[in-house]
Amino acid sequence: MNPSSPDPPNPQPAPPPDPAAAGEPLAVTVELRKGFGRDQVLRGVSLRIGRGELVGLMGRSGSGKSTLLHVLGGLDREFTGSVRLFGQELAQLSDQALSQLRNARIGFVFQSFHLLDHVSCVDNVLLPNAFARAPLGRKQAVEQAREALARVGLGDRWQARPSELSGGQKQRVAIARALLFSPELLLCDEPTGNLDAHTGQQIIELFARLNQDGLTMLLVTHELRVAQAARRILRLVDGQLVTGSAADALAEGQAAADAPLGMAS
Amino acid sequence: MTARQTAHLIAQSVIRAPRAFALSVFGIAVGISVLAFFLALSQGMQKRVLGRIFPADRLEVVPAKSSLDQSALGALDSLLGGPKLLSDELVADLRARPEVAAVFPRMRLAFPVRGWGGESIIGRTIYTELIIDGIDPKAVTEPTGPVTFADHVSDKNPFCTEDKNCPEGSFCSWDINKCEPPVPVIVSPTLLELYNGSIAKTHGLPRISGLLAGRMRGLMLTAELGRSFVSKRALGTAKQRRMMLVGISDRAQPLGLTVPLPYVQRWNAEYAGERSAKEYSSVSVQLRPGHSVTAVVEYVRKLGYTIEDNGAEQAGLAVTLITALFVLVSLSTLVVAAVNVAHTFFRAIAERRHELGVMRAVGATERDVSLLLLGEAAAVGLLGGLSGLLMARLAGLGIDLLSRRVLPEFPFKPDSYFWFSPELLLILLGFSVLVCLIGAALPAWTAAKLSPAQALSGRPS
Repeated sequence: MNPSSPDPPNPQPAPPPDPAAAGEPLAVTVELRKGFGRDQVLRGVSLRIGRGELVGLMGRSGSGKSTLLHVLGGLDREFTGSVRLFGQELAQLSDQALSQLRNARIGFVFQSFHLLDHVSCVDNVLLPNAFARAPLGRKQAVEQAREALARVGLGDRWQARPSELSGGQKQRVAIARALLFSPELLLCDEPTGNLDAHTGQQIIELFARLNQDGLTMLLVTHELRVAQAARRILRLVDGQLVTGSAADALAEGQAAADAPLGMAS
Repeated sequence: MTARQTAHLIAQSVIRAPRAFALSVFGIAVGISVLAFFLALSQGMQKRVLGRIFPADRLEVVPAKSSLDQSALGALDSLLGGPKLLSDELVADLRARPEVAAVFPRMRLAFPVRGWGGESIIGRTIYTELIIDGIDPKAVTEPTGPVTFADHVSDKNPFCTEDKNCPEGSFCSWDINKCEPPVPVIVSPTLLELYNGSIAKTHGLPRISGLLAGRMRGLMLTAELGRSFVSKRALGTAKQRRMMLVGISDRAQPLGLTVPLPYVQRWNAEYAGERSAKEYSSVSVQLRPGHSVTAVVEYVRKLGYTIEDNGAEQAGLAVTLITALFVLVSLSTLVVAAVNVAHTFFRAIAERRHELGVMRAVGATERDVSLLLLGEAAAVGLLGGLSGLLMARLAGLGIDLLSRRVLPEFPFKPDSYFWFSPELLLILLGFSVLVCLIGAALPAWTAAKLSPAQALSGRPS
């Protein structure tokens, strides 16, 4: 939950808490494997992400970072091994239950923003409301969307079209969309990949603030400055997690230094 | 996803790609308009033309034609008693059938009659042979006047020796010295159509329009029973009777005059013998709505009678075949339109892959994605259907206008050739939506089954 809005006006019923999940990390994978055809992209990934953590996930292109994020966010269901999110085994959830989970408890931010160009910022932010189990009325929803936009510093551009915004502003709109229903987990895939250094830094600072407010985050990146904002860094090398700091990742040659670890927590 | 949210997203999608939407709508509109045009034309021809010439809810039962009639053995057939006669027994049998609403026997005059009159309408006296038959007066439901279509002969009619002895509206039948109202006569719309379409034109006579048809009521003519302009042979004692046209009814015989049955029965008995006063020439059967014609036809044939072949079956079949041909052409247009819709949606899904992926990421279910795309298809179908129906209606109005202005008058020329019944409009609108849903079904299913990760990453599915 985002403490910056302690009493969010989102009336939709939260999914029932799983008693067994009390005290359990927010996300847990065990021996997660995933391939595309003959290519094994994830080779037995086991990890834990606790509540309130800001975790950086680094690795070279093609190392499986985005794939791991997709699986963790319930965007890809074709995998083997175990993925538990909010105490629920993702493989056992129906399409409807998983969609509800994504709608109410997970936010996504992508490198290329994925905004709908033909509608205004506020309508982009409102998109999750269309698929909510109990959608807000238009007036209340717009109010909430404008609040989310204000939180990312775009309170005055709510009527603008994405084409009228800079890259940084577009990413802020995407973040506002992810925050609409005050999710518990924010999954970001190369969120600064398409931004200049200055704008990227602003976005990183925004993430840091959101994390300070209690939002659990996983930042997929291959940029050190982004990873440095994380309290913990996971590195993926050829589909396996390896230990080490972000600095290690830069200082050492990726291929030489990496060694499989099995579980990183 | 609620209906309101779905409608909102559909509207956003339409605004997003108006050209693709308009093209799909246009394709469907063309298909539906062609289909609606031909179906309405077919319905119009059936209802406004064929229905007037050959009413579908009526059968005319006639004696079975023996094959022997056509051959040299016809005489033998006559010796054996000839075809089965139409009697009161048959009338009673038919009236007992559940499919039958009413039965009206008809009888032709079995001897020659000549007549003259028509001055007040045509401007000069016309002399002609009269073809007269009689029908049960109950069969005529159209308004008649100034004299009702009924038997007005009664023993109580006052004595007279000439017309001036009779009350106004009655004439003296000098052979029986009784005042009698004129014999009421009805004519069929077919006769008027033939007159207007052929005789009036070729003989330079005025057409009988609605107004003139009204004025024709009360038209008097004189009939002379037992005499002919064609044959010099006289039958019995000539009797003159005043006749009055009292109405136009499709119960009247197509080419001739129809009077109440009792007149014909009396005259036949007097001029052609008692037997001809008991034999009906045909029996008109009115069917109850929604009942099968076939069952009655079978029953009639089983009894040894047949149904008059008036060409309705062949005409109906011809219209049906022509309609079927055009409907096939229209349907092929619609198939092309449906393929176009499928193509448009497949293309749209490819173009909107990331958009669909984002929707899935923010909580859209497979069902939501399907609903959204099928909803867009339904919108195409609805708008295309409405546009198509409007186009067909306008085309129909144009053709009707052209027909009124350009085409010469001909028998049974209708005011409109088309019949856009509410049922037809609703069915075609539904069909239009269905075609689009069928066209979009596979693309929608494909899009729904696309995993969000695939959609977002652009990885091949």
